[in-house]
Amino acid sequence: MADESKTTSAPSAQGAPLDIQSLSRSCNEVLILSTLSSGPHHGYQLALELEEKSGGAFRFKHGTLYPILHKLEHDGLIQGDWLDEAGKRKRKSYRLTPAGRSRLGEQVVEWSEFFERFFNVVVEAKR
Amino acid sequence: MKRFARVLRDAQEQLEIPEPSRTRVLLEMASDLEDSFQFHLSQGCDEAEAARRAEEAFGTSEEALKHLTRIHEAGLGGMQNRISNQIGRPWEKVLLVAIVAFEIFATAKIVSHEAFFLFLSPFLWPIAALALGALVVTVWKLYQIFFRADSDVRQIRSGLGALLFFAGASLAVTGCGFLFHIQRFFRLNYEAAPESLFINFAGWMATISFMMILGLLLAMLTALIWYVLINLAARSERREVEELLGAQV
Repeated sequence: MADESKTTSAPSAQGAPLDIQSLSRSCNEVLILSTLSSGPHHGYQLALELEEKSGGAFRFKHGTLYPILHKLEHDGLIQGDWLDEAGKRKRKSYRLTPAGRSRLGEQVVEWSEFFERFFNVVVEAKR
Repeated sequence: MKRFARVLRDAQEQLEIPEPSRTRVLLEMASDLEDSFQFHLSQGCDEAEAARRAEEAFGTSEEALKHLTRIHEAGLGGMQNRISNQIGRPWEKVLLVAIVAFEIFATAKIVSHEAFFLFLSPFLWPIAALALGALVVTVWKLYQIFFRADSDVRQIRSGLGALLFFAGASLAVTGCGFLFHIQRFFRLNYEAAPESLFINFAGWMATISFMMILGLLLAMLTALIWYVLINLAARSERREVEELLGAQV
């Protein structure tokens, strides 16, 4: 996964031409938004959960997560809050905003359409 | 935090974003490194191994840090970051307060002038509405900064850009008013007798002067208040960062 900083919509939405460059950006975005949909996460927790849920397929170097997280925060799709944990050090926790939840919904639909078309091509080639 | 001082120092050198954003990013990195370190400790690693693995898993690239810099420098927020933190010395604060006080005094003086309401331009109403909007934002932000203890620092910055909008809109309305009154004067006095032309010109001058001076003064005052508030917000942020640093070390 690349550490791109632009927030994008899912690839090839509504039959538009596929922008290969936006693929990984969009994928990173939907992965993070999906993980945050289950509740607030710290940066490290987020990377760990993504890796675990994907069986190691999506392994983020934590340092490369920051540009994606900060871009999503900048765009108002997620919000980061510094939380004090029982007198210990403060940690930044990210949560999904209503705008982020709505973007996630759109992206899930768009990615489903994308994979449907993708498999149409691949399955046809296999026949 | 000291455990990862080298990694954080490297990141700090490459992050060219203004304070307090830079310190915040570094604190976030420090916190995640510490989480990662604790995780590896819980997996049975000794301290040195846990620290090594945490650094390895961290892996901030130069490209990632450049992206971060771009994100934090972008847009109005980036500009506000660069402009804030500039007022530090006492004489700068005194000068700024004196300028704001003078602007308020000058505005009050014009509005209280006996001829002001005789030569009222219709463009003064939108200017007054914009000034009222700026006043509401200012009072709300002052309340957040000084009286609402639970205010999130981000909330203080949010909405401050509206003051710049009010200042810009006030300038734009003043400019439109100026053009409107010029064309109106020439249209109405195209064939007027010289005596009445002089009287009309005096009235036109009074109307346009009041409108322009007030419009410009209010635009400047709003922009100055924005500058004061953005610096107050930066001060609150610096306090929060100092508090965070205190908690981290």
